[in-house]
Amino acid sequence: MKGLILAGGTGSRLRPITYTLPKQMLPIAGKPVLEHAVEKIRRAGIDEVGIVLGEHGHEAIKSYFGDGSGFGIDITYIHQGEPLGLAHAVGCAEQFVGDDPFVLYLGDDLIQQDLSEFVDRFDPETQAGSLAVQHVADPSRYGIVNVNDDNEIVGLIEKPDDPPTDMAAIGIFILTPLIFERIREIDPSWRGELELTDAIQRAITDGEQFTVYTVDGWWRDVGTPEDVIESNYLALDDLDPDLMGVVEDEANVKGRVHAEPGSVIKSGATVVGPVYLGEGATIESGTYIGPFTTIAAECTIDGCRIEQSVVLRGSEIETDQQVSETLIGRNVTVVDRQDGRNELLLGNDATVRL
Amino acid sequence: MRLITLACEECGSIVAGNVLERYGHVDCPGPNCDRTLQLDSLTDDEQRHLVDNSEKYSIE
Repeated sequence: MKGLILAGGTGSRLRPITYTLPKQMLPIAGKPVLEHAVEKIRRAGIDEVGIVLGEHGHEAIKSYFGDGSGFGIDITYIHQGEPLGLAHAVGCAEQFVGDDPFVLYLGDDLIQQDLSEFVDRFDPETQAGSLAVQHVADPSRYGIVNVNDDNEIVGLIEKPDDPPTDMAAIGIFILTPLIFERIREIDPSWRGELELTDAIQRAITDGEQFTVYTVDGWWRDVGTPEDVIESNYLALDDLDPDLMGVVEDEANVKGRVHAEPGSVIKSGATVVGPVYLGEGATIESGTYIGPFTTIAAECTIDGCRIEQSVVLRGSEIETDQQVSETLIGRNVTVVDRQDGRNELLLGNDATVRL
Repeated sequence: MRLITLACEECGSIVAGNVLERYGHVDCPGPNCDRTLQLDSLTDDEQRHLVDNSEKYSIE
């Protein structure tokens, strides 16, 4: 079996961060979203992985993952270009997939559960595909799967007013090469995209067997700043603590803290886990880093109280203000002015709540 | 919808036909590959299809 990760998309709801960084490279608990996907696929025993790249941000992805050897996999890159839909992205990978079944993983998805059982249960001799699903409280917000008594899918419905089940498709599939014929048979939808649900629905209507696999544990897709904060919260809750940096005398470290080499928690600073500190991150005296916070590499945090937040590489926060549930981009500077006025330099599509 | 792609003969990386139609040629997406992938490596029929159906292969 092969793996196929879709890493295109514009990330429009995460602007301005995504003007310079694809959303799949946002750090969640110290690792890019996409690395979490790669790990799930590798742990399921799959080492041939295709990554479908969009129009923007592909250099950041290729630069990080290279040929995949550093991550225990062999990566083939597939340049989709414009975001012409999930089915188009899958279709572009036909030559990579060949005759093998494949796990299709939307690259902005994060799940807690391992995929091994999902992969092991799939039988390409009898099934054309399987969709990972999760029971949700508000099915009208999701793409919902309708099944018969044998747990075979009989229909896919996008955000139904009257949901037939509470099973939401979570963006992880196992498919066979049969899907490529179905993709050829469909046309772009009203929004100009080739929809994967249309291709799967067509296959189901023609009698191909698709089943569901229920995923336990948490699941999020990282589409908005709120999703990033919440995903970071959930992923940090599973964090393995490891203090590889310097913890000075009189520094106060509680709970599960993972600090990379080169990080420094200075005397008089407080860090209450779960917290991830990247390589070279410096937590100055008088600072409070609260639970569920990721401070990426080369950041300096001085004097503030920060919690439930994600701060990207190279940023400097020097203030006595409180920062919470906040996403801060790369190389951002936040400092106090002494005259009480606000002085801002904000990129396009930025959001500030003072 | 017809799926048109070009695979690099050197490393197996793949470029969608719509990308080639838009730019004419692109660097191979393979991280260690210095090949350039060309629109005219597609068959005449594939090139004609991309041009004739360019609105389907564009989100704009």
